[in-house]
Amino acid sequence: MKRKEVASYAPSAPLLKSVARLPQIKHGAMHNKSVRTFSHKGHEISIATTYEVKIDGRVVHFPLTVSEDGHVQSHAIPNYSLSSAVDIVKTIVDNFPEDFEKKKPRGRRTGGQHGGHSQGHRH
Amino acid sequence: MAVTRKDIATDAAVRAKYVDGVLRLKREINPQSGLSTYDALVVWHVRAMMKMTPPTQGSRNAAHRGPVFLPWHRYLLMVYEQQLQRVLQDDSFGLPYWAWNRDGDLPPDQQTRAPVWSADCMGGSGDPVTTGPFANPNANPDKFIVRVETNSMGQLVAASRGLARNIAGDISTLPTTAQARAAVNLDAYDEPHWGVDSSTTLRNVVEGWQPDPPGMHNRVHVWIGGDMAPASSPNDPVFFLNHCNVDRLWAAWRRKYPNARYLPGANAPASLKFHRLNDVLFSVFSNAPKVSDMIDIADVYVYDTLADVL
Repeated sequence: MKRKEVASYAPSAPLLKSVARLPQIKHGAMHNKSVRTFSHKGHEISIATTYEVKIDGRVVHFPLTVSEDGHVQSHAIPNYSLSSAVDIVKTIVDNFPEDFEKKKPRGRRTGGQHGGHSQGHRH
Repeated sequence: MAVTRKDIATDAAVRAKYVDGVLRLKREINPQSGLSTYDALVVWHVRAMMKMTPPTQGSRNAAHRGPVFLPWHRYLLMVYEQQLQRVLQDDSFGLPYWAWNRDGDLPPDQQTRAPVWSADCMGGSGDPVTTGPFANPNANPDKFIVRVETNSMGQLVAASRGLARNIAGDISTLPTTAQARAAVNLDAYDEPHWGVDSSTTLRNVVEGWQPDPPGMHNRVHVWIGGDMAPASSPNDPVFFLNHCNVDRLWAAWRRKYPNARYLPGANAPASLKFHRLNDVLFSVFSNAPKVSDMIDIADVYVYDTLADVL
């Protein structure tokens, strides 16, 4: 790329216009399923992994994936790669405590499963 | 003439300009949403992360966990640098990098006290951060404030709070220079299956999925924690300093292996859309460059040194 071309790829007005409203991002159920395929001694093998996570009795649809070496990852905390689903769920709860408050304080609006306005802190 | 990107920890002039530029971009507000030009970069990053490629799986997305990780973030940094140049009215401004590999060579207790975390640079740790130019413990809307973030589902939600960091809270050390050199020494850019499992390719090792995750780029995010943990991690201005050092590693690799090719090529399957050499990069702009446009950038910027990672 030449330097004179950069400006055409980085206009300022469309950048600010792109946040005229907050985009709503939807997740599909497939984001909770991983399929690992590999060959072993002439066999074609496929392992499908699906997680069902409940917190305080409520099903939560974390985006969880498992890599070929068995590490578990989540787009909620996209740079973590942990050795078990237990560890990744604990880490998500630690990072988003406001999403899992058992009883929300009156008058406080939180994020979490329904979106909205969060005043919680990052841990 | 290409601009020069310098080390923020050792260059006071570029450090002051970077802070000034970030605060200016934060003050450019869209009246409809109350979000700023800076916030738009946060939103763009989240949208790219949640764009699955292909949509039938939940791992590789339009900016991460696949070959386009390095070109897409180079594009993001170029847009950011262009915006900083505009608000600073300084076409010679080069985005600084943070050479975290050099701090990673320090003993663990000294890493958290490295110059980049001083009050006259990026400020320190805390929830909220209480030192440095981005400290805003009382969530004053006229100061640096986090206005948008992602929740545990990866969804964008509005926020109104000070920046948070949890430095060395989840992991005690940064990547080292020896690890950075080992990554740059790998002669292959990427390989099938184009995911997170290869220990022998530049892209996957620099992104940090192998070996012994979290490594390199991922390890820096985890080490800082707080707002650097979720998909909205560009909320912390250190995000861009981290990625500028990541980009510096790619530049070093290009110098070491000038004939090595970006992979996958243009004829790879459609399931690799956004990651192939001639694919247009995922963008909020209608006029976006291709992956191939990000390979040779010597006319746009250079780094003051690559010697430590070669």
